[in-house]
Amino acid sequence: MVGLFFRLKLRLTRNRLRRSGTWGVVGFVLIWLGAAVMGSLLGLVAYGAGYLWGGDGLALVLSVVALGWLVVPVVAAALDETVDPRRLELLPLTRVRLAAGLLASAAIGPGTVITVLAAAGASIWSFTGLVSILPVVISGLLFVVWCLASSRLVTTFLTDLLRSRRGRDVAVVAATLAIGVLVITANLYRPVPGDFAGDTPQLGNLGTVLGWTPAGAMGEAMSDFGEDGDPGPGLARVAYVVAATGVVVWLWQIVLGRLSTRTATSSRVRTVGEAVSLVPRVFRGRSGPVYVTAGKELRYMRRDPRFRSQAVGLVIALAALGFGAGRFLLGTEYAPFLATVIAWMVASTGFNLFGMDDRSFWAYVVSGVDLRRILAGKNLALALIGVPAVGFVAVLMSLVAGEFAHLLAAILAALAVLAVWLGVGNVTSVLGAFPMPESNLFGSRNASAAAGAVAIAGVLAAGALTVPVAAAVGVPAVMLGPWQGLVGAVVAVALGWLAYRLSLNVAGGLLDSRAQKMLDTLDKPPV
Amino acid sequence: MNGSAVSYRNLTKRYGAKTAVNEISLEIPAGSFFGICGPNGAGKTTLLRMTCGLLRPDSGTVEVAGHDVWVDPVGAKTRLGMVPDNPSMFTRLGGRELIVFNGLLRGMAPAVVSERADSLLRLLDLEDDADTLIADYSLGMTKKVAIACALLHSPRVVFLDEPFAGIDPVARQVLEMILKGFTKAGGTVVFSDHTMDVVERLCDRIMVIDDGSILTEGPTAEITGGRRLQDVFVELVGGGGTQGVDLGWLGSSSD
Repeated sequence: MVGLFFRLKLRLTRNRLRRSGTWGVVGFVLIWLGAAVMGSLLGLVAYGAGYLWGGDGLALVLSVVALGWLVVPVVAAALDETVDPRRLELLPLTRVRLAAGLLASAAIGPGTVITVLAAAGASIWSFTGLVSILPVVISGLLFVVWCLASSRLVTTFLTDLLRSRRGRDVAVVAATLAIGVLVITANLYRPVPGDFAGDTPQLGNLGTVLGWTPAGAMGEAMSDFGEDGDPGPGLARVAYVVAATGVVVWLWQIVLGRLSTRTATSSRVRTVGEAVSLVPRVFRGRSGPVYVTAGKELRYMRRDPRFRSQAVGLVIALAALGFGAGRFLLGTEYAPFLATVIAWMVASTGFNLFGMDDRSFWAYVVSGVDLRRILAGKNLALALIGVPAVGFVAVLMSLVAGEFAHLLAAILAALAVLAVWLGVGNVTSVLGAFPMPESNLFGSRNASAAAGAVAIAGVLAAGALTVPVAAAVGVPAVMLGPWQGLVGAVVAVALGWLAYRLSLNVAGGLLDSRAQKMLDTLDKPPV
Repeated sequence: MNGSAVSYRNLTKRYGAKTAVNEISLEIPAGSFFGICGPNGAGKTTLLRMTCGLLRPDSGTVEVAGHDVWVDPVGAKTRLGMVPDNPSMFTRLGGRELIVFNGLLRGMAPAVVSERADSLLRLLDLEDDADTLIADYSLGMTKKVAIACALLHSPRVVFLDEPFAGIDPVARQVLEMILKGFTKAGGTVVFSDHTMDVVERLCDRIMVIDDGSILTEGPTAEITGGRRLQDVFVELVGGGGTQGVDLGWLGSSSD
């Protein structure tokens, strides 16, 4: 059965590439190469951590990798590699066979490459002779299985939870608290610049604590079997992780069963007023395609589980900034400029603006409305989220730092960044459109590799355009002072607005000429 | 197969305040061609999804070929085939790949799967598109391949939710012939459809449901009593006119 799922996954991947053209293949290769590079770096870090802190170091690095498996699929769309179990519902498969098959399918992906290479780095440090190879490798493989299984449990559970509005709120609060605790903990153990030696025991202690987690236990076990030459504790740790993995898989298939045999009811209850009025209160007295589109987008943001995941990501970023990064390298007086990170985060969710519309994109086309106005409406909705968020974070950072000199310049700089990234997002939304998956869960790779390549190019372009904007504010603010920084911020806003208007025209023209192609692309059923 | 192919006992499903299926108890005889009729939102799809193990009922039981769907799902699913109204498939597989994969996952021998897949593809006129990805299929072709997947393992009972929607007349005729042959061989077909003449022509038993409850159920001839099923249906569920709604604006230019 596991072999069959492997074959299925490989066949799905091959067929996806078959359709994606040259650029798609290039994008695919780049993604896997990127994963190999990142995995190799993590492997080196694991090796280095083992060298410095022994089993505790391995536990530390492997725990970070395992944490990535828990967080990334929840907050980032289209990264799940699991075959969609809803497409297997009619088959007479026992829960155990289904779970094993799904885990096997989830294993084929760039995330596994990263994880295996990280585990390989830890293993290489642990090897001390031929006798140690087998148990160390088994510990490494068990670590990979643990990452896959725990990730499946958390993402499946959260997907179920995020379907309801109450669940969304709980998830946002829980994620914030969890990340807040993590950031605070990380800060407690943060290396003190210039005092590297003094840092060692602290990180070692953290590794010792993490050694009790299943991922960390596998790091400790590798060390036990290898470098420490003490297989007794290693065997106990392996037994513990085998049992923990079994429990996680068991819980996962229960959640999976619940999810697949229950329909979502979260969007069923709504008031008549909500159903009738597409133009929300904020636009009262205004009408037209821009406001109607913005209103529709805001309603989607409130109702669609896919936006909820992005909301979780945004809150995590807010928490991370609030708790930790305010004391970053620049010094406290520049802390409000971290609001640009929020501007960037909000705007970067607009790199595939028509993805949520997917099949209903035709409605825009047949309406006969100028498609630039649809784009402008979508931008307006994001701005209505982004502008208050930027203001909030800038003020929060100023309060944390106790410095208000750069507050206004920081807000303006963030707005300029928002404009630039929204502008680039307009172009990528047309050139690299793809239907957004229904959830972050299960084989949600609707994006062709070509769309991925467009997104990467968009990020690079937006990054390049951000340089002059940042320079316009940053150079006078740092070299001359707050007032000169403010003047520079005004210039930055003008540059950002110019880039935005230009992009709107370019994207609008592209929309007119590529509407048919976008219809074809967005009308594809989910993979 | 003797006795009941499908057996419902007080099957109920609620969505908040709305009762989609309300304490349905029913026996569908083996070998019958059973039609489920009802207006939109009557509970047909909910009933079929609960029958096939896709949606958990709030209360009550359902058995397929003697196997409780929710106590012994593997046993029940081994004996049933289903074509949902909007089939969820691996759209990045070719038609043949999908059928073969379904058979292998069901534990069928590869040679048998291959032979049956070829027969079904030929019969459903999908031979030329066997290697085309499902993502590039039309709605009708997608339905056809879903039908092939449902029949591949020679189930005892086949459930079809609006199987003829989007299918061309030739394929419809072929499918009708396949299903009739299937019931003659002892299999049971349960299907829902809005096209009353199709239901009337094919089914030896029918059930009309509305608001989740059975309005009538029995042999087709007994229920129609010589009248058209369409007329009987409208009489049972009500409606059928514009009910005093003024549509005078329709047809006036919006220029």
